[in-house]
Amino acid sequence: MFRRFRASIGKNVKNLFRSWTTLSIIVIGPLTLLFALLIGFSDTGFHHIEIGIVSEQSGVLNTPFVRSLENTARFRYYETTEWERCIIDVQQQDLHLCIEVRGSHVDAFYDPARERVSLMLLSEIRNAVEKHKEDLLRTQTQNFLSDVGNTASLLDKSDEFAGRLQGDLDDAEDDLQLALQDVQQAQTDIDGYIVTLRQRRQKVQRASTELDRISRLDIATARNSLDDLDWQLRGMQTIAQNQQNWVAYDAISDARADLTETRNALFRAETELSSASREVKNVLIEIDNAIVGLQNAKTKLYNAELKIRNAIDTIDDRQKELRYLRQDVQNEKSRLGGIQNTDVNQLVRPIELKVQQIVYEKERVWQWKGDLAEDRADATSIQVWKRFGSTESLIPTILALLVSFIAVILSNIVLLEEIHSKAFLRNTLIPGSRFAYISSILFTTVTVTFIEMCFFLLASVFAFNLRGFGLSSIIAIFLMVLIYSVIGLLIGFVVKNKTTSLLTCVFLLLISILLGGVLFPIERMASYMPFITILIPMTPGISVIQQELFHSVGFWSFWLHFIILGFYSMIALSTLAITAAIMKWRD
Amino acid sequence: MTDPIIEFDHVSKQFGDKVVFENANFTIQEGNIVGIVGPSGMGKSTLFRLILGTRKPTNGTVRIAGELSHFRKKVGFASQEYSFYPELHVEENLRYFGKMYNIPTKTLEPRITKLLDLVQLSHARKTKAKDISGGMKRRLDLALALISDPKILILDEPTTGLDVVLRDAIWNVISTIHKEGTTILVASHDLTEIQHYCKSVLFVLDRKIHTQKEMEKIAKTRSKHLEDVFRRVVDVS
Repeated sequence: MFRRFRASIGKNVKNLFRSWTTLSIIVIGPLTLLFALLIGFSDTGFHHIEIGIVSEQSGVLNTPFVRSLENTARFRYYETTEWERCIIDVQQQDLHLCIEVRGSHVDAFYDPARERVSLMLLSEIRNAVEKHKEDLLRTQTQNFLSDVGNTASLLDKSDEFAGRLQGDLDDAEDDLQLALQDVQQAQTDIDGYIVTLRQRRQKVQRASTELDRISRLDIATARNSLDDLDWQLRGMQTIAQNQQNWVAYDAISDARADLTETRNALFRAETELSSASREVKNVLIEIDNAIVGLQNAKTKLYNAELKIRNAIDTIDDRQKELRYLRQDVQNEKSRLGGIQNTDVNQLVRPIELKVQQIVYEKERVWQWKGDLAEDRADATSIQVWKRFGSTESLIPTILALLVSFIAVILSNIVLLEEIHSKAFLRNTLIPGSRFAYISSILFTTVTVTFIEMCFFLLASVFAFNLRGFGLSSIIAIFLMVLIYSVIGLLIGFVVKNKTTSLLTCVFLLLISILLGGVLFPIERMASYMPFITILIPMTPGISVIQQELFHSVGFWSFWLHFIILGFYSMIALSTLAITAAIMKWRD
Repeated sequence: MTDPIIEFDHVSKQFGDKVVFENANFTIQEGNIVGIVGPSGMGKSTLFRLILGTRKPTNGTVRIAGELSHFRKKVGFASQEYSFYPELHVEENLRYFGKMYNIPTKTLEPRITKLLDLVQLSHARKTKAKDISGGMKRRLDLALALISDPKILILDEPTTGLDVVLRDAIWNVISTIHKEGTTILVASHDLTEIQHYCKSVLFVLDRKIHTQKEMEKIAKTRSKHLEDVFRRVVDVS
C-alpha cells in the first residue's frame, strides 16, 4: 500500500514539473503575481493625492496643519465662494477630499464612492490634526513648565526675601523691645524729671515769692528807709545849710549823693529784682510748661509704648504668618520642583499604545496595551458629513469585478469549449469562416455579459436608491465587457488547455484587481502605479460608474475615460483579429 | 478517362526537422472511390490535411480540381470522431454548417431534406445529436460532410466501431454518394471493405505513398486479395 502511495507521489511530482502547463501554474503564475505585487506595492505611501482647501485666507496653505500633510497630498486653494467648485471637483474625481477650514474647525468632504482611499486620507488628516494639537499642547505645556520654573524662582526669591524680612522683623522687634524699654525708661525719667521739676518749681516758687516779697516789701521798705533817710539828710542838709556847716553840708551832700546812688542802686536792684522776679515767674511758667510738656511727652510716650507694643504684637503675628507662609512656599517649591522636572512628553502624551506579541507554544496571540478611551477637550475637530461603511459604495467595485470575471471567464470558456468540441474540426474546414466564427463567440459573450450587468446595475439603482444611472455607466460597462471578453478570447487562443487557460484568466484578474485600485487604493501604491493602472481597463470604468452613480456627473465629463476605454477596445479587437488570423487552430 | 481531381506533385511535408510526409506523387481521377490503407502513424492524417488544405506542403504542389488554393469548399470530410454539436438537433446541425458555408436558404433547406433522406435520418431531424445512436451519428457526420455539396469526400475510417449491419448501411450510403459523382477517399483498416467498395487503393507506408493500384489489377493478381497485397507491400518495405 505504502509502495503504491510512494510510486503515485513520484509520478505526480514528475507530471507536475515536466509539464509546462502545471509548471506555469505552480511557478510562473505565482512569480508573476508576486512580481506584480512587488512592483505595485513597493511604496505604499500616498501618491498623486489632490486635496482642496476652502478658506477665507490663502495663508492657510502655510499653516503647520497643512504643511504636515505635504508628504501626503498636494493642496489646491479655494476661496470660500468657490466651495461648490471644490465639491464638484471631488465628485469628478479631480480631488480626493475637500477640506473647509473655519477658525478652529476643519470639515472634510469625501467621496463615498472612493471610500477606502478617503478613509485612509481622513486618517492621515486626523493624525495631522492630532499632531497639530499635540504640538499646540506641547508649546503650551512647555510655556506652562517655564512659568512653573519662573514661579519656582520667584518663590525662591520670595522665600529668601521672606527670610530676610523675618530677620528684619526679628531685628525690628528687638529694636522695638529696646525702644519700649527706652520709652519706659523715658517715661520713668520723665516722671523723675516731672518730680524734680515740681520740686524745683516749688523752690522757684518760693524764690519767686521771696523775690516778690523782697521786691515788694524789702525794697519798698529800703526805699522808704532811703527816702526817709534822704528826707532826714535833706533835713540835715538844710540844717547844715542853714548852719552853713559846709562840711557837714558836703558830707551830707555826699551822703545824700551816696544815698541817691543807693536809691538808684536800690532802684536798679528793684528793677533787677522785678526783672528777676519776672524771669523767675517766666521760669515758673516755663517749668510749668516743661512739666506740661513732659506730661504730654509722657502721654505720647505712653501712646508710643502702646503702639510699640501693638507693633511688637503685630510683628509677632506677622512673623508667625511669615513662618507659615515660608512653610507653604517651601512645600509649593517642592511640588513645583517636581512638576518643573517633569518630561513634556509625560504631560502631553501620558498614554502610550504598546503592542506585544505573546507566543504560547503553538498558539500566537496579539495583546494590546493601553487605554484609548480618554478624550481631550481640544480646539480643533473633524466633522465628517457622511458616515462610512455604506454598502452603496461597493457597487461600482462589485460591478467592475463581475464584469471582468464574467466577461473574461465566459468568453474563455466558450472559446475553449468550442475548440475542444467535436464540431471544431468541421468548423476549421469551412473556408473563410474564421472571422464569423470568432466574432460570433465574441458577440455572444459580450451580449450575454452586458445584458446581465445592465440588470445588475438596474437592480442596484433601485435597491439602493442611487442617484444616477445613465448612458455613461452603460457605455463604460459595455466597453469593459468588450475589452475583457477579448482578453478572455486571447487567453483561450494562446493557452488551449482549459484548466490552464482558466487559471491564467484568474491570475490576470487577480493582478487587475490588486493593482487596479479595486481592493487597495492606487494612491497608496508606488508613485508610478497610476501610470500603470491606467492601462487596466477596470480603473477608468470604475471611475465613470462611481461618478455617475453617486454624483450624477455629466456625460461629457468622461470624454477622457471613454477615449481611453475606446482606445483599449480598438487595440483589443485588433489584437484579436491578428491573433485569430495567424494562430493555428489545431496542431 | 476523366480529369484528375486530386494531383500531388512531389509533395513533402516537414515540421521542423521531422519529415511527416515525403515525396508524394499521385493523381486521383474524378469520380473515383479510393481506399487509403497503411499502418497507423504512417501519414494518412497528414495526407488528408494536405488534401483538405489545412496544411500547406513544404515542397511540391497540391491541386484540387485544378486549383492550388481556395479549394476547401470542394472537399468534405468526415473524421474518425464525430464532428457536430451534440446539443443541437440533427436538422440544426445541418442548417448551421450550411449557413457557415454561405449556402443560400433557398438551396439549403432542400439540400438538408435531401441529405437527411440520403442518410436515412429524416425521422430524427428534431432529435438532439447526442441522443441518436452510434450508427445515426456516423450518418449525420456523413451528411454534414456533404452539406457543402463537395466534389471530394474524405472519410477517415467511417465504419470503425460499428457492427456488420451498420457497416453495410454506411457503405450503402457511401456508394449512393459515389453514384452521384462524388470522388471519395476512404481510409480504413478493413481491407475487405476497401477491396469490395473501392476502385483503387493507395498504400501509405513509411510516410510516403508506396503504391497506387487499381482494384481490377489486384483482382487479376495471383493473390487476388488486397490483404495479401498489403502484406507483401509491408514486407518489401
